[in-house]
Amino acid sequence: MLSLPYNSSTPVLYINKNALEEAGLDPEAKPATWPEVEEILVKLKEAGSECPLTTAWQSWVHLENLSAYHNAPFATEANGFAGTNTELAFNGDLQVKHIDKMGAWAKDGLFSYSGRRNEGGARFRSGECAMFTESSAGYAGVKAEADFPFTVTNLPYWPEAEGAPYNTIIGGASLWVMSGHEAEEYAGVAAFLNYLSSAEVQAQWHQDTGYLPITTAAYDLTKEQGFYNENPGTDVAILQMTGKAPTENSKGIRLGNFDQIRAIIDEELEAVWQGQKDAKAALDEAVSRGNELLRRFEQSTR
Amino acid sequence: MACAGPASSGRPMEKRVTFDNRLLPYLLLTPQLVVTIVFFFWPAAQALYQSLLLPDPFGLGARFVWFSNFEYLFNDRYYLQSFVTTAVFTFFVTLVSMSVALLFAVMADQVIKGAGAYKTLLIWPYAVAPAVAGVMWLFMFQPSIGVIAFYMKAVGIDWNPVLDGGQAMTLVILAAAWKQISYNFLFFLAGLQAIPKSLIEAAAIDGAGKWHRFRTIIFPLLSPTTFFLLVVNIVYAFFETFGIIHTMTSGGPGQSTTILVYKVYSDGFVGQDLGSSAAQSVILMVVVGILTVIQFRFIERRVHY
Repeated sequence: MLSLPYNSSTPVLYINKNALEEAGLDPEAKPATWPEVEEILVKLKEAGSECPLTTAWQSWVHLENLSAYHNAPFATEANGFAGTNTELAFNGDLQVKHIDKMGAWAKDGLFSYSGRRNEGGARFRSGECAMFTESSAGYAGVKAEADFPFTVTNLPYWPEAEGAPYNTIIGGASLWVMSGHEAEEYAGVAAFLNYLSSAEVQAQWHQDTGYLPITTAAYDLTKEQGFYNENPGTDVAILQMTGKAPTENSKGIRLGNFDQIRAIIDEELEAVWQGQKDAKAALDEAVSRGNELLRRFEQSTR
Repeated sequence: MACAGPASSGRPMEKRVTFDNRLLPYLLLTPQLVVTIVFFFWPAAQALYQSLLLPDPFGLGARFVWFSNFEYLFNDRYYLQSFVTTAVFTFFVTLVSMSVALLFAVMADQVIKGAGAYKTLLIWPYAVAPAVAGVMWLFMFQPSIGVIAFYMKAVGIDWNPVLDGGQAMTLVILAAAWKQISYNFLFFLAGLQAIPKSLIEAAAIDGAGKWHRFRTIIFPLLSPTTFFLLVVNIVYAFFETFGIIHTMTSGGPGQSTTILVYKVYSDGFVGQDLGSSAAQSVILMVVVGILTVIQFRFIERRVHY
């Protein structure tokens, strides 16, 4: 282990039950696939919704996780894990199809873009947006602020992709311990990390925030306490992450200059949502701009 | 050592107050020199040096790459586009902040009752940090949470700076200009108060109207202040506005608000690509240097001191 995973989460779909009911839909609906989601979006729009669907973290949810979830490569060389000579690959058929669909939804008023980070959260929690793809860690905020009943369900997938859905991947952060300190300081660090990863602390952290528990013991403890039964949907993220044995494409992503690459992806996706570029052109451009950054990174590691 | 000034003369008949200590002038200059060396020359030299390096991902080592950081930048058409974006942004920030400040200064100069309160309130925004200013404007104009955005939508304005590049640009220009109005106001007000009242009164007696007096007497006499502020405002828009961009738009939508200094910030501090960030700083430094020289050569000729 390089560092201690801490606030890890994975994207899920949040649904405002009242919005479904007002549109004459089954409020308990849990659409599993994007075509099922589309049917609901059309009805929501017909019923007058200004924002049937929005998202947070578009690159993470709609390209990185989309790719892992359908066992499609985001980048070559096992998403960068096998070497720094990796090249981006998220302009494949599946990703182009998905972004093209979302572009069409944006044009038709079925999908409303909120911003690059999690600006969409306020719009979902206030009831403006009916459906919201966001990190499982958005749970605490939704639970605290939304004055309507909501569903948390799996990120939808495309049924025609072979073997889909695979597992989704994590986002978040981890704790690093730096070298160069005194032995007794490390003893303190170790005690603190042991405390943080103890089942009780992890279970509480997981239940309060929606972040994933980092140990099986914390998951089992949460189950024992009956939390998942009382709060349906809170185990969706865990099951979705661990549902299948991860493949080369769904283990995670390791790329240099990834922050800048995500900014490029944001820029190109915005061009799609504005209707300035089609999905294929935007993703091709993002791949080629991103590859330049990867080559730059490769040089710096030589 | 000939430039040591008054201290070099030792004639007994000299009437002026003189200081015979040769070191004193240097001593008096030291604080300013130290500040300039530590906060300008040293970082500038560092930037020049780092712009020739390609550091490794964790910043533990670096390779000397000559000018490849610059080569990379000038081959990037998005970087070149960002010059145009910066020009538009700087032009409007300077125009808006200076003209509004001049208007306020002229008006505040005429206020008799409660002048102090007006002045204090007008100067206040200068104390707000750029990032905080950005967030405040966001609370008003962000389409999902903004108070004013809510009413704009309610009256049917299609307000969506999250996807509309022109609206996003307008928003960051207003926020950046707003923050600088106070500073400009202060200097314009001081400039106005330094204009001899007798000149204005004489013009009034000769029958010159308010606008005529402003155009032919006040504005020309303000020109040293205006020129100074022009230089300062351009430097402000070029260098000090990344906090506003970062909190409000992150350079988006697309690259419509990615100004040069924001890219320096995001590549260097967010992306950890210090070589490229340093090269961009050097380019920025050169651009502002050239602009300042142009201003002193061509615009300053029209300034009446």
